[in-house]
Amino acid sequence: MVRPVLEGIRVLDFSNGAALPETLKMCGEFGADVIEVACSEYPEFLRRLGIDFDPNKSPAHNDAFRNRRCLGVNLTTPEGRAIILELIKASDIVAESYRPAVMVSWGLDYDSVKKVKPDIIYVSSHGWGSGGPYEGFQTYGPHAQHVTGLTWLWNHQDSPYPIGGNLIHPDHIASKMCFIALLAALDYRRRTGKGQLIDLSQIEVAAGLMGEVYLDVSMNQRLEPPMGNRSLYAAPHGCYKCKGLVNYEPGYPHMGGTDIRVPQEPTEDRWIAISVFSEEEWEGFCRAIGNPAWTTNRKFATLNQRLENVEELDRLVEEWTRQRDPFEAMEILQRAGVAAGVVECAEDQVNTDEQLKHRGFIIELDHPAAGRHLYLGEPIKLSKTPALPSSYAPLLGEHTNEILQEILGMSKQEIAQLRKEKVIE
Amino acid sequence: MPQLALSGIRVLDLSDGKGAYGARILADLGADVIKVEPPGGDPMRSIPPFAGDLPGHERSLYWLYRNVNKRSITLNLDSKEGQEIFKRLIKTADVVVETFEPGYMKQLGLDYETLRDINPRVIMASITDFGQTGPYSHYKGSDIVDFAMSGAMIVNGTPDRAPVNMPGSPARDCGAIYAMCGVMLALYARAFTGEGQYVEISAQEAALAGLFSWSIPGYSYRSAAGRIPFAGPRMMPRTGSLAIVPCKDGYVHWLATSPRQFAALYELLGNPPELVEMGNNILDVAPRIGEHIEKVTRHTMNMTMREFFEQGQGKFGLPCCPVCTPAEYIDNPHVKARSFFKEVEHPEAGKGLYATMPFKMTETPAEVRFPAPRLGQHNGEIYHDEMGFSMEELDALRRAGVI
Repeated sequence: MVRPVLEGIRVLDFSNGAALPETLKMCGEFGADVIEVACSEYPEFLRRLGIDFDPNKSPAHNDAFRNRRCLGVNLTTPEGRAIILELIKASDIVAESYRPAVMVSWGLDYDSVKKVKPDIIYVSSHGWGSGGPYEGFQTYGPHAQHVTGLTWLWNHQDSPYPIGGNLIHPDHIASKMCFIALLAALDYRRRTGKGQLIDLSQIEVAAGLMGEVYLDVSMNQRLEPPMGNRSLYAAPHGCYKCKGLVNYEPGYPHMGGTDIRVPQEPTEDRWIAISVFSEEEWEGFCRAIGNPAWTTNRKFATLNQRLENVEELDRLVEEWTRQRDPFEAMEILQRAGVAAGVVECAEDQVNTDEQLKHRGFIIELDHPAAGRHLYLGEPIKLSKTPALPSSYAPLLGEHTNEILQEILGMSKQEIAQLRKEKVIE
Repeated sequence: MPQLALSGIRVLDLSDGKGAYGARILADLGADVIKVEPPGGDPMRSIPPFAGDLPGHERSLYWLYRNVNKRSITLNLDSKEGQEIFKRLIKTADVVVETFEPGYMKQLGLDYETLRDINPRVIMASITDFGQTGPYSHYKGSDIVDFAMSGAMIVNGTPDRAPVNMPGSPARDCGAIYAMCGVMLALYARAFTGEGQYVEISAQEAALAGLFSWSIPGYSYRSAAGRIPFAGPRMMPRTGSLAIVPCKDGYVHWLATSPRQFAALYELLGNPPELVEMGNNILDVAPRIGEHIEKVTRHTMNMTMREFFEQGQGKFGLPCCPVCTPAEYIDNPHVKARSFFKEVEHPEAGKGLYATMPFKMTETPAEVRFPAPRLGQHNGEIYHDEMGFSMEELDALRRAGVI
C-alpha cells in the first residue's frame, strides 16, 4: 500500500461556499485528515441551496464537503473555542472563508492562531482578498465575473447589455489555485519549519484567467467588444444548432435586466461547437460536409475572407449541422481532423459521452441523508500516489465523539457534559 | 528576506495553450521554467491581438501574459539530435509539462518511462483535451470545443440565443491548473519517496470539475426529486447573469439568500413597503423571484453603481457589486491597493500591466520578475554556459535546424 501524499497532515476547516471547501476536498482525497468545524446555529452557506431547501439535500454542499470528518461545535461559546484551540495545536493547516470579522471575534484569526501553533499554515479565502478598501466585503462567485470585466465581455456581439454566464467558476478554479499555494506552503514548511499565511482572492482568480485582456487595455489602450462565439483568427468558429433542437423560440422574453423566468416546457437544447483555424482544417471541414458548392466560393477561400463573410459562413455551416444529431456531427467532423464538440449538458455527460464513460470520471456515492447520487471523480491522475476513493460529505457532527476522543483524549463523561451544555453536537 | 517557494525546481515546458498558464504558476512561485520551443517559435506567439496591433513573434498578448518568468530555448524535438539534447536536459529537470497528442512523446522516444530511466526523480505532466486513452483521445480540441464538452457552456447566455463561449481559455486553463496541482502533489511526495511520477490530465474532466463541478450532482439530485434537472436534458437555464439589473449609470448585482442579507437589501433601498412585504425568507421569495427583482430594479434606477456597491457593502453588509469593464477593474482602488497588476516592460512589446497570482503568501510570495522570453533568448545561457556546447557546435545545430 502506497502512503497517500498528504497522510499525517491535519486540516481544520472553517470554510464556506465553493472555493475553500473544494480545496479541502482535494486535500482529503490525497490523504489529509480534514476536519470540518460546523454548527447548526450558523449552517454552512451551501446548505441553503438544498433541493426544496432541505439542508441535507444540497448537491453543492454534499459535493464540496466530501472527503472529511465533521466536528459539531458551537464557536460562540468560550468552551467551544477552547476545544478548537486545543485541536489547532494538533493541526497543520487552518482554512477559513468567513467574513474577516468573524474569525477575529472568535479569537481564531491568523495572529491568534500563530501564538498557539507558530508553524501553522493559515489560509484565508475572500472575494476581494485582504489589504484594501473592500477588505471584508462579502462576495460570492458571480461577483468575480462582474467586477473583473468578464461579464462585460462574455456576450454575443450584438448583446444589448451585459448578460455574462451562469457559472460561478471563479470559486471552483480558486480552489485549485489555492491548492497549489497550499502545497507550496507545506513543502516550504517541510524544508524550513516555518508556517505562513495564504491570502486568496477569488476575484483575482477570475482576472488571472483573462490576463491578455488587461494587456490589451494597458498596451493598446483598447477595450475589445465582446466576441460572442467568434474568433479573431478562426472561421468557422462558433456554436451551431443541431437536430433535436425543439421548442426553440428566438425572442424568448429574457430578462431585459429583470426577467429571470425560465422555460417550463421541456426543451431539447442541441448544439455543436466548431472551430476551424488552419487551411488544412478548412479543407477537412469542406470534405466532411460533402464539399457543397458554396465551399468553393471565393468569398470563403482564405481565412481573411471567411472572417469578412462570417455571418453568411455561419448560416451555411448551420444548414449542415441543423440536419444532424450533435454527437453524429462531432464524429464526422473529428474524423476529418476538425475540432468539434457537442455542447454537452449533464445528461449527455452521464449517458452519452463515451469518453467520460471510458475513463469512469462520473462516480456514485451513497450519502446517509441524501441517498445515492452522482458526483465527479478526481481529474488528477497520479501514477504512484493516486487519489483515495471519495467519501460522502459528513453529516453535521457525525464525527464529534471520535475526534474529541482520538485527538484530545476526552472521556465519554466529558463529552456527554459538553453535549449537555450544547457546546458540541 | 522572503524566499521563493519553488527555487531550485527546474521545469521543461513543452506545452501549448493547454499548459502555458500552469507552467507560469510554477514560474511565479520561483521555479526555473524553460520553455522549449520549436525553432519556428511556439504557435502561441501568433495568437492575436498583438501589442500595437503589429503581428510578430514577440507581440502576441496571449503569449506575453502566459509566459512571463520563463526562459526560452529552441529545440527541434522531431530531430534525432534534438531528442538527444532533450535527454541531456532531462537530467537537470524536476518537471516536464507536455501537451502533445497522445502517443507523440512515445513516438519521439521521450515518453515518461524513457525519461524516468534517465532521471528517476523527474515528474512528467501530460495534458490533452480528452485524455491519453479512450474513444475521444485523438479528437482535436480548442478553447471553444473544450468549453462545450466540459458541460459548462450550455448554461450561459439567454434562452433565445446560442450558448456563449467564455472569453479567454477557461477550459484549457483548468487543465493546466489541475496539472500543476498534480505536479505539486508529486513534488511533495518525492520529498519522501525520492521518486518522480506521471501526472495525467484531461482538459475536459478538469474543466468539468474546475468550471462547473455542481452540474452532475445538481442533475442527479434534481432528477431524483422530480425537478427539472439544472443543466439537464431538456432545460436551458440560460437566464443570464444571476440578476444583473440596470442602475443610473450601468448595471449592478446583488445576492441575498439569508434573512440578514434580505434585510440589508431593503435597508439600502430605503425599506420600500412593496419589498418589505415580500419578506426575508428565501422560501417565500424564491417562487416570486422575477417579481422581486423587478421591484428592486425600480429603486436601483435611482442609484449609481458606486452608491449601490459602496453603501450596500460598506454600510449594510449586502453582498453586491457593480458590473465593470476590464479597464474599470484595473482602476479599482482595492485592486490597486493589493498591487494585483504589475507593470513589466518587454524589450519589444513595451510596457504592460500583468495580472499576478491571485494569492498572497507571507513567506514565499509569488511574483512577476521578468517578461516573457524572446524566441530562443536563452539558447546561449543553457546550451553554451550550462551544457558546454561551443559556439561552433551551436552554429552547426542552428544550420541543421536543430535549434
